[in-house]
Amino acid sequence: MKTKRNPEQVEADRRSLLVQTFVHATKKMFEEQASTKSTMRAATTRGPLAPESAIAGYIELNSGELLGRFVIYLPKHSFLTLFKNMFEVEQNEITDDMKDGAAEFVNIIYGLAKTELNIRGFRFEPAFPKVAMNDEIPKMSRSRPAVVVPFDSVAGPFHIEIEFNSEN
Amino acid sequence: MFDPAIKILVIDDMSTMRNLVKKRLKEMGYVNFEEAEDGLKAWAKLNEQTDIGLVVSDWNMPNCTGLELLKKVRTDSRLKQMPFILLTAEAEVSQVKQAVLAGVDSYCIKPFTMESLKSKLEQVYAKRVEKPK
Ligand SMILES: [Mg+2]
Repeated sequence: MKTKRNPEQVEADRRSLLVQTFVHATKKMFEEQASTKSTMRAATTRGPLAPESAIAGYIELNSGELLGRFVIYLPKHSFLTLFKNMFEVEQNEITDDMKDGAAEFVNIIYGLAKTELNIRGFRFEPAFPKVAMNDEIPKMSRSRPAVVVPFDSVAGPFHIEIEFNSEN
Repeated sequence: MFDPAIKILVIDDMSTMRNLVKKRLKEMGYVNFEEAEDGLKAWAKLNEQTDIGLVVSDWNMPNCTGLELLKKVRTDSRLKQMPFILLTAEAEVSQVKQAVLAGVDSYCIKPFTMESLKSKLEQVYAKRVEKPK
């Protein structure tokens, strides 16, 4: 006989699955497309201040209803190194035409995660990633609750955030 | 492999990704490229440049997706035999099925390596030589 789980537990499990899937997709993307191994550190909830980041790639998470947003935040050195490892172009500054590199990180991570999650009952559709740089980053809305997962890699640290719409 | 002089149309909305794909194709020996940032611009190039011999296209792009472009190509009397490879982060079984139904020659999933893309090109070439359409 099946015991009925309470709705809070169901939602907590769903969020945990989202986080785990995006963590896995992030590691896989950098390892396979940028030959860069990364390790996650302990996940936390978000503090009030955005950590030092030069560029952020993000995408809305919509599975029939808006669930929240996936964001990857990268300090300058980490982004330049990952960009070089992935696209084989070396730069000392993040130029405008490198912005879509951050979008492509998110595009591939989202594609990997979407494939996994849709097998598990989600209904994510193709979506377009966006990018914020420098001064735009502190202006990004940070009102939603989020799980923050920091990563270490030979390219430097970076972190991902999975934000949840509070009404879900 | 295809003739190294074949003109390859590389389509992706991300310029960094177009450059990476061209780089990988150059490493395989190909030298002749055209590029487009969405299906609409690609369609115009396919109609203007009659020497394009192979398409490597992203799926998820604004204006006209790779799948929509593929469908247009397959219903065009001059272009319908065009070898067409989708190189995409869209990897769900249902999507691969849609692409196969629309007549894609091969499907390469991002993240991709030089080897994965090369083997897809070789498959397409072998199919075309064994069974010219
Ligand atoms: Mg795309």
